[in-house]
This record gives sequence, C-alpha cells and structure tokens, in this order.
Amino acid sequence: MAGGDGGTGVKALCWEGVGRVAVRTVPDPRIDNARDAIVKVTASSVCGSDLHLIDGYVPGMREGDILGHEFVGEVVEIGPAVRTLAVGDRVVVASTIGCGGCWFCDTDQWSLCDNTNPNAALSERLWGQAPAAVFGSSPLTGGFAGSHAEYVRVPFADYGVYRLPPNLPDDAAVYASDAAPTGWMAAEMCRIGEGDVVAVWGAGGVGQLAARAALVLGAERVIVIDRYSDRLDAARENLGVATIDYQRADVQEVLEDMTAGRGPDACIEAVGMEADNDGGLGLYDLATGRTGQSERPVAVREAILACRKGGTVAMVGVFAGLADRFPLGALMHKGLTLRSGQPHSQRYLPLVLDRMARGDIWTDYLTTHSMPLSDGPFGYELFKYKIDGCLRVVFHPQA
Amino acid sequence: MGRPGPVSTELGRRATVGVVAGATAGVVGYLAARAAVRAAGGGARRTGAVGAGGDGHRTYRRAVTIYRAPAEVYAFCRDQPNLAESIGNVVRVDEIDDRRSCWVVAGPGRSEVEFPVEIVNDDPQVLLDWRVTDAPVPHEGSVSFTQAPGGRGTEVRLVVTIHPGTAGLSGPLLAADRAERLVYDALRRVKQVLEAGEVVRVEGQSSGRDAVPREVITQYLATGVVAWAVTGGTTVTGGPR
Repeated sequence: MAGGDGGTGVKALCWEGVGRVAVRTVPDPRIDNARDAIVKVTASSVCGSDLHLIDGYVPGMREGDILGHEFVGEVVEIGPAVRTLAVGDRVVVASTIGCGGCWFCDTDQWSLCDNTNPNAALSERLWGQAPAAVFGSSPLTGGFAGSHAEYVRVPFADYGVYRLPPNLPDDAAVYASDAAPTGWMAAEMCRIGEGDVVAVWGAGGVGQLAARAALVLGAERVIVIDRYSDRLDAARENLGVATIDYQRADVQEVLEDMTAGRGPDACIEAVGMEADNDGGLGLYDLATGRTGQSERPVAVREAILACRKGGTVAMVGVFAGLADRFPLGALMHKGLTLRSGQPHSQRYLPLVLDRMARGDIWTDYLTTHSMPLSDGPFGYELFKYKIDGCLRVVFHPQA
Repeated sequence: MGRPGPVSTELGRRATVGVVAGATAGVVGYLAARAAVRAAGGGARRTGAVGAGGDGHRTYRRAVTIYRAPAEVYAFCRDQPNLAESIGNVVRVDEIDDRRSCWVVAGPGRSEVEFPVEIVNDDPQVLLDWRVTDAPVPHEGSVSFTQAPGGRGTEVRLVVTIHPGTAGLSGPLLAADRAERLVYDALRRVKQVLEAGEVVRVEGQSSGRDAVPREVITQYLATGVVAWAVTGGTTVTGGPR
C-alpha cells in the first residue's frame, strides 16, 4: 500500500548511471502537496526519450532517479485539495505536468507550464526559459519520480489525470499518456491540407501514431522512414502507409521521386537526439559529440532537406542541447516553418481517447512486449537494440 | 479551461505590512544568519549583482510575469500570512504599526534572525518600497506591479539593494549568486502560489537513492554490440541507435 513513511517500499525501475538501469525497492511515494494523487500503476510504457536519459545524453540525471512517463493505473489516494478524482478511478495520466493556472496552461500549452518545474532556474540557464515538468525525467524537466514503479505520485492531479473507458485495455490506453498526444500534435503542427504528402522520420511508437494522425487529419499520402524492417512492416500493415528503409535507398531520391520533385508538404521528425550515424555528417556528429555537441540531428537535417518549399517540419523527437551543421540555408531559402515541442498532453489526451474509442486510432499493435516490472532492465535492452521485433515494451508493475 | 480554486482574493484590509518586503527581508535575513555562522569565511565568490557601489552595496533585479490582475497580486503581497507562507524561512511576523513590523526568520540549523522592516512607500496596486536598517544585512527593496500586455497578467519587478552593514557581514560574506538565487526563488514562489495554488515540491520524493537493498535486481545494458539469444538461441546484433 502506498503512502507515508510506514510503507514497506515499492518496486521501481531506477537509473543507475550511463547505460544502466535496475529494479530497486524504494520508499513509498506519498502526498507531498495538497493537489497530489497517488496512482497504483498497472501499465507503464518505455519511450524512446527514456533512452536519451539512460544513455546519459540529457544533463542532470542522478543515480536512483525513477524512469517512466507513459502510464495508466488506479487512483489509490488523493490530496486534500484534489477535486475531480476519487479513489478507485481507473485513469491514464498525461506525461507532462501542468499547474492549470498559469498563462500557458490557460492557453492550452501545457508542456510549457510555468510552475511545475521545481528546477526552473537550472533549465533557464540552459534554455532561457523553463518548460513544464515531465514524469521520470532529468531535473531539467522537473525531476519528478517516474511511473516505472508500483505506485507513483501525480502532482496537480486535477489537471492531467483522465478516467478511462472500461473497454479500453491498459496496453492500448497507455499510449494516450504521451505517444498518441505527441503524434497527434506533430500532425496538427503540419497544418495538413488537401492532397498533402507527409513524411515521417522514425517508425517507433510516436512515428506510427503521427503517421496515423496525419491520415486522420486528411493527408493524401504518408511515408514512414526507418531502418528496422519489422517497424516498417508494422506501419505498412497497420496503417497502410508507404515506407522507406533508409539503409536500402537514398531517402532524398525516393521522396523526390514519390512526390515528382515537389518534396513532402510536411515532414515529421520523430527520432530525436540519438539518431543513427550513417553517412558523413553522422560521423561528424559522433566526433563532435565528444567535444560539446550533444545531439545527432540526422533525421531533422534530412527532413529539412527533403521538405517542399514553403512546407512545415514538425520536430517532436527530443533534443536537449546544441546541434551543429544544421541546414539553416535550406530552412531559410525554402521558406520552411520549423515547429516543435513536448506534447501538450492535457490538450490532446481527451481527443486521442475519443479517437481510440471511435476506432480512428489504434495502438494495440504497438505493444510488442509486455512484462512485469521486475524484467525492466531486460525490457529496455530489447527496446534499445530493437531485438525480437521490439516496438514498445509495456511493464506491469502489479504483475 | 479551468482555473485552480481562487487563491485568497479577499485579503485586503487586515494586512498592514508589506509582505514582499518582509519576505525578501526574510531571505536576506537568512543570508545574514548564514554569513554570521560562517563568519570566518573569505571574500565574495562571485559578483552576480547588477550593480555594485563604492560602499560595497549590491543591487539585484529580477522580474516575473504573474497571470493574475495587478490588484490581486498587490493584495497578495500586502498580506503577510500569504507571503510568509509562500516564501518559507519566516518564523513569524509581529506588526508594530501600519508601516513597521518585526520579522523573525529561520537561519541555518536552529538559528533565528530578528529585524525590523519599514514600509517607506506604499502605492496600492503599483508599488511597495521597504527598508531594513537595523539588521545584520541592511537593505532596501522595491517591488512594482504593472499590467502585462495582452492579458498576460502582471509584470512584477523586484529590486533589492544590500548594504555592507555595521557588522561588515553582508559585504564580503554574502555570496552574490546565492543572494540572487534566493531573491529569484522568492519571486517564483509568489508566482506559483498565486497561479498554481501551491509550490510543488520534489525534495524528499521517492527515489532509488533511498533504496532498500533487499531486492535489487541489476542488469547492465551493454554499450557496444549486444548478443542476446531471444528466440531459439538466435544471436541478434545491433548498434546503439
């Protein structure tokens, strides 16, 4: 049972250092603020952005930090100021934490919340202003304990916790936390119009959901780019999209051919800072990564080069620091719009739940591996190295 | 989009002492206590101050935008229980008259520092100026409230000038970066209480740093090529993505 110092401890998947995670028994999470809730986690998904944390690319991680930000569970305790939830509610929780009272939350830009990041001064030094907190992340984005645990504390529980329809199973609903809102937001940022062709870099959970959202929002054709054949197969079979294996074909050439020279009207980057290193610039990134550049912005470079003149590049892969050799010339002379951001999960979560219920978005095929939390390190190994056709691993802490 | 419950808008009359004043004074008092405890310490580590005068005074300026109307922000800052609670470190505030109060703030360990705060200028909804003279770290401060453009709330600008002090403590012993940080933290906390209704905490939350070592299952992610027999002993290889 969660709550208080009298607890017996709960199992949680913790960061141990670069490349290392472990399941530990940690103190029970408790209500620290009046608007907190404690959620008993029944399913918690891995996410590509966890790999950036695990692999040490995001500054500030401390040994013992609990990972995980995409989860469903049951409300078991609420703080005295929580108004909208009740113990026993089966819920999905937004990955980004919003206070509900600042200008950003009030204008539906929840991932930019002014008040949920207790380490704002730290992120301001790096980024100028501080973004909202995210569960299971570095102190730069709040440093809140994550959901790969039997129980998790959810701050500002009135904003970001949503009741689940009973017919939506955990392993499908879990993606409403983060991957589906991120994918939907990426597609929305593309301002898709009639006849638009949308290219998506990355066939992971977010890329798949972005591709589906682009179709729902009216894209004429969606093309998904990756190098993992099982992920590309999954995209073709489940979404009916075209795919490009960039290890077998020149992406720029193929996209140019598919669009008769126009280029995709919009490009979605769903890869992030640890893109693969093929090619000369990739080697450059690897070399400079040892001298200050924290990113390997391979996919976003490609997206900018491929994008139609006047088109939009939506970057939802996670980056943390500085990038080098960035195609500013192409961005400028082609009049591109570059849009980005962590998902405003609270804005999109009710929408994606509704779309899931109506059968417009389906996520069941994304969970290729489902396992107890105690197998967490193994799960991340499968996920990181894409072993056994791994697309997403969902942990079940109560199993 | 919903707002959090109203954050004490019925403050008005009962407050007689400027609390931003007191709160910042509290911060500075805390610094003074730190300085006193570390009295043998060396010179200033860094001057992060905006201005440093010939007499050794330092001026700190920080501003935040608070998504509430100037009247509400001003009223909040005029209300000492609100402010003392949101700032932290303040043990109690004793009112002397409508301009003067005595602040007791917590120092390091169990120490407490007591000093008088005097409001020298009170322009409702516009400005609050205060002065602290009889203290280990004498200082003066000013907080102004301006309507932000486009319905973004109130621009709150805080200026604090710290003087060397009779005991000579504040000059060399106040770390400028620390003072600046505390002044900014005080502002941010006021913003958080007004907008979000509480200052959210992460200190003391559950983490693996307090792990109970009885059930530790560790596994290391390989850093290079991984060989893992997943299906029927097949060896799978892959590089880091």
